[in-house]
Amino acid sequence: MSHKIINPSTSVAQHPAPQGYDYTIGPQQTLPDLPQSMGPSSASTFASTGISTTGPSAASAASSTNLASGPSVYSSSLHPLAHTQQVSLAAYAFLFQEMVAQARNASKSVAEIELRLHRHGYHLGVRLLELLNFRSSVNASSRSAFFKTSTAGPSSTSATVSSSAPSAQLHGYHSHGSGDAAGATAAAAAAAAADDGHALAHSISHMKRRDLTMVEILQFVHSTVWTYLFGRPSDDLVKSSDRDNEFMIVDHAPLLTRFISSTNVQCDFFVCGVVEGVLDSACFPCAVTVHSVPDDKFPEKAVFVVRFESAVLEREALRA
Amino acid sequence: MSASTSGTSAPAAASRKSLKAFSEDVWKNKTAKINAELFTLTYGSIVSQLCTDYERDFTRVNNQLYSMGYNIGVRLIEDFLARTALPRCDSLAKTSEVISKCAFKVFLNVTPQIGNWSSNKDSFSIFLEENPLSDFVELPMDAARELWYSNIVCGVLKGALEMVQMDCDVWFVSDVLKGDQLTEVRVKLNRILKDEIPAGED
Repeated sequence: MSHKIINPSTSVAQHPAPQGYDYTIGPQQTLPDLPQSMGPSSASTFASTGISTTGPSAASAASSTNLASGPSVYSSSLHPLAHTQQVSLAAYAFLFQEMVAQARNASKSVAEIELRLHRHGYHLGVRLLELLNFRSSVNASSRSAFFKTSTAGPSSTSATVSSSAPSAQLHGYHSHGSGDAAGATAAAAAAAAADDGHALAHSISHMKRRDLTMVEILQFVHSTVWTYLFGRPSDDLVKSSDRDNEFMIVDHAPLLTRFISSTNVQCDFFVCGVVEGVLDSACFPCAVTVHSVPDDKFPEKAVFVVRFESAVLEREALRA
Repeated sequence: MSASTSGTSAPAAASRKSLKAFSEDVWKNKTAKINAELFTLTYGSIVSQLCTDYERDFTRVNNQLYSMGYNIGVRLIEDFLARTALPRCDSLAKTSEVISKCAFKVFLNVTPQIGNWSSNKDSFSIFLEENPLSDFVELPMDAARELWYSNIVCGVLKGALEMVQMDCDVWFVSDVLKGDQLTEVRVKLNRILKDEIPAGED
């Protein structure tokens, strides 16, 4: 299929600043202040041939697609308060059920269903690591300052405008407005961001240190990731006594599969995918599986088994 | 909408209090909740998987999302009525109010605006200012032309309304993801279905 071809970056020069992610090209820098122009004809060219043949003529027809007028995803805030914070578990359960049904219809075997669920979760996991680290880097004092600014107004913003160099870089990604903010100085951007009370980046002076050992990253999964996903830490984190590379995360009552009666398909493979995505993107290659271990007290009890690759053990031995 | 549980006190409470306060109460006290971003990301993963499975044939993706929504809708209405115990709506205006202030609130914690009524009052628009399904989403260029990213919502409304005897057409008119100013879902009532006794039940 043509869409599987990823063109080398030489094709970038032929595009007059396309907006958004173009899967035929791969990641590109998109700056809010560049003139946005991408014609519908060029989009169809990508889809049909995978070869970029966009010329200025296509760009001039861009006015018909008003993509540029929409707010860019890069200018929206990452702050947890900037979006809808919660939806009902029922809505999620319905969606989850449809996802499982979809996976079932597209698969021929149980293993394939589980693989599909796993892949769904994996996509979440690789995104979560960055996001959660970013959010936990917001220290307590600036966080409280944020809450003040969002409620009390600009009077208390002075506490948050203490940007150092790394945070100034972050402003670039989160600058508001349609373009002129990108060229503004860090201080001005910080002030503007503090004014509207939505930018999170400016209140970070130090990014949280990355987790470097297996135990640290697993504790991150056990506490931070679990709390983010399910509103509580997981019930236990256990190291296998038999194998060095094996750890177990225990959940007594998995939230997502609460409404799914026990079947031969383990729908918790979705959560496995999330965990594996987080660990993979933190450079801890591993395989995660789930096993349901019902006992008298917790009939729904599930154990997520994390098996790190031997390379991780070797690396850890070198550091010790 | 359904009068099956009208003997309980909840409908009476609903008429005393405003619908908005009522659904706020249901949301706060009677609803188990989950992180909205998990919901957003999961939905995103579903849509992108569909796009891959159908080799970026976005018409098929739209249809599939719609039918997934329909499957949800026919079951979701049960959950909705059990949770709110609202009586049957006497007009489409009332229905629209329940959809926006109650249904969207109870499930997605948003309250979209209703407007754009047709002259004969048989169709209206739902304007989704906030859409938990499409937070953090930016469509690739080819998808921006054809894909209705949140099409599952149409299916849900269609399925749910059909279960309360309202045969409706529901479709997206515009979406901010496509560069439009507003996200607008159009609902058109075709006819009220009659209660029919299933074959062999007579």
